Amino acid sequence: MTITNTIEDEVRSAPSVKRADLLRLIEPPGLSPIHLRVHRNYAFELIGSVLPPFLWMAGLKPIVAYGDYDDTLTFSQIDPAAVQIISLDFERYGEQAYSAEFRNWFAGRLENLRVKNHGPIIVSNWPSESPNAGRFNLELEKIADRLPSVFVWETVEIFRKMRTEFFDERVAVAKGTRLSNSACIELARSLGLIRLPSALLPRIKAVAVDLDNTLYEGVLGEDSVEGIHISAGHGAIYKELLRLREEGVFLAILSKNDERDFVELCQRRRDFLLKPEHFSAISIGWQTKSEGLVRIAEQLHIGVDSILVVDDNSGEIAQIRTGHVNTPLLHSRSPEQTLFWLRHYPALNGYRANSATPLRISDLKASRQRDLLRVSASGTDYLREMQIELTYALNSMSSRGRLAELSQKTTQFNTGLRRFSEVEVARRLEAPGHCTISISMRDRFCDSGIIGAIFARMDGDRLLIEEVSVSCRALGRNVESPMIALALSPVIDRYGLRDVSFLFRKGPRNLPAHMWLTSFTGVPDIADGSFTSVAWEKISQRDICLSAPVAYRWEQITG
Amino acid sequence: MTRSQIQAAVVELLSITVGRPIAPSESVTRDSEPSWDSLKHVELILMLEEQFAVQFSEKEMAALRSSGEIVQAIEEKNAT
Repeated sequence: MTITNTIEDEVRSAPSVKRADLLRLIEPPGLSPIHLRVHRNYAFELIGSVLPPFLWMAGLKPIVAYGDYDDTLTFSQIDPAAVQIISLDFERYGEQAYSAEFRNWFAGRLENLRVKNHGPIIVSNWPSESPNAGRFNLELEKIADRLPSVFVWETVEIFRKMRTEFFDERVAVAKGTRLSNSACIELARSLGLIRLPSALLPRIKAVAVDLDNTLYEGVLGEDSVEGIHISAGHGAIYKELLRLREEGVFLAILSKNDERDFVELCQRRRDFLLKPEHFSAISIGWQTKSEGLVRIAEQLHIGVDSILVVDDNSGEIAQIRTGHVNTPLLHSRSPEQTLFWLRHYPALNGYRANSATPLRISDLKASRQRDLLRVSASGTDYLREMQIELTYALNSMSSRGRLAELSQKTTQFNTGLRRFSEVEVARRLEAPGHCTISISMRDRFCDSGIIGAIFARMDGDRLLIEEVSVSCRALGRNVESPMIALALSPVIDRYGLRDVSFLFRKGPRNLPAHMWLTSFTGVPDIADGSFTSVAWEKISQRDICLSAPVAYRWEQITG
Repeated sequence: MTRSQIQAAVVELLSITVGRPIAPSESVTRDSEPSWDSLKHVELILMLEEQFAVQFSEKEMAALRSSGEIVQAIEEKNAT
């Protein structure tokens, strides 16, 4: 996806965009269809009709199905795989909606829908500043945290920004809603650019920004550190970038410049709030931007298609697009425009934090220290000096979001390429005969949080392992085999199992997983798309793994 | 704004509403255009209000049933 300075992008980012301007936009080719089922008690169609131009930005084409107006949320029409959107005008319930009974009823309806459907559920909160609405919204947050893949659509924020413009009671009966036209457009914008993409797509992992005429006005090499201009808009961009960093998004510099000038800028301009330590990767030099982008991806251990590049130069944008067609791009035209898209770029905002989020940046720093240690030590010495501590938990419901994320997002070390949604993970955690093991790792350099997951089920005296997912952050410490053996051993002992059987599916990037499985099982010809069974006793490296110099403990082994 | 300018803008918004090109001289009515349903009508009214900076009452909304009536109503609102 590329955001340039086309009329289309201007329309989508305009603060007061007109409905007709949105409806004039032409659907781009190559979109993925996404089915939405709307449960509502007002004319959501006025939001739904202007939703597509925003969702197109995320590469999605909405196919929207509307139920009848239903204050009672009977959910009589459900498509099990579709995204469910619940959007209610709570004022229609009158004083009833103020009660705890109403809040309990609403929670019950959400639980009911969760059972019937396994797609994401998006539920709008109550756009009002009344204390009753506040209580309801607080309760809604708790329900959304409790139920898998239930996401709150923040309409209150839009209400606060628009205030009296949010409602238009003038022709409410004829329109079928009290929402104003501009509120419908703002709601479509937040749903299409933020809420739906964040529920459906993996998050962009890094933002790589250019320097000249992007983070300030001017050319550092020509205008000097004192000569460049930093406006209030640039200051807002710095704060936005730092907010993204706080949320676990890596920051990087991708610039054709002299790195010494950048260091001097950071040292001498107090209004330049960004410092070298905020950036997890820096590529400043005279190579092409495509080459610089690859260097950044290597430094961050991520793919170039999960890095958003922000650059003011349309030639550079085009050059990157030619080499990396799937890299998200943002053509920075003005500080205001850049700020808007940093807040609204699909798949960058609106994600729920999980335990791994704040650890990513510190873990990357630690990986450089580990590399140094690896040079000076080898084999078991390296493992011993790393002081690795593993913590296992069996069927831990509180980790379901991270477990689903691991199955969906890691690509180098996924054995079965099973992609479990959060709802599917939650169901597996409660299903008899299923074992889902989460693996957390800490070493002398940092706490990496949950970095591994094993999804298995019992079949007679066999443990069928449908998926082993290990985060890229945990790879390269030579600990995969002990980590997995130590996880499986107590489960096998506890249930008296004899064999382990691994599902392997070949993917574009999971060669490391294949190599590991071959080495771990001792089976040279691991077949693609089927289970490979081995007697647990015959696992060639079993004893070595179980006596590896790593500390471990089980936090939870019930269920 | 002249009558022909209003007419051109109304025709363009109507073509967005019904999802087909409409010739400037073509007279379009709700009865003759199946896709011009009640929700599309509301959407058209919202676009007209944006475009011409006018407001319609519920009664006026219900009364607008053809391109000609819309052009006339906007002319009258502009005149007052």
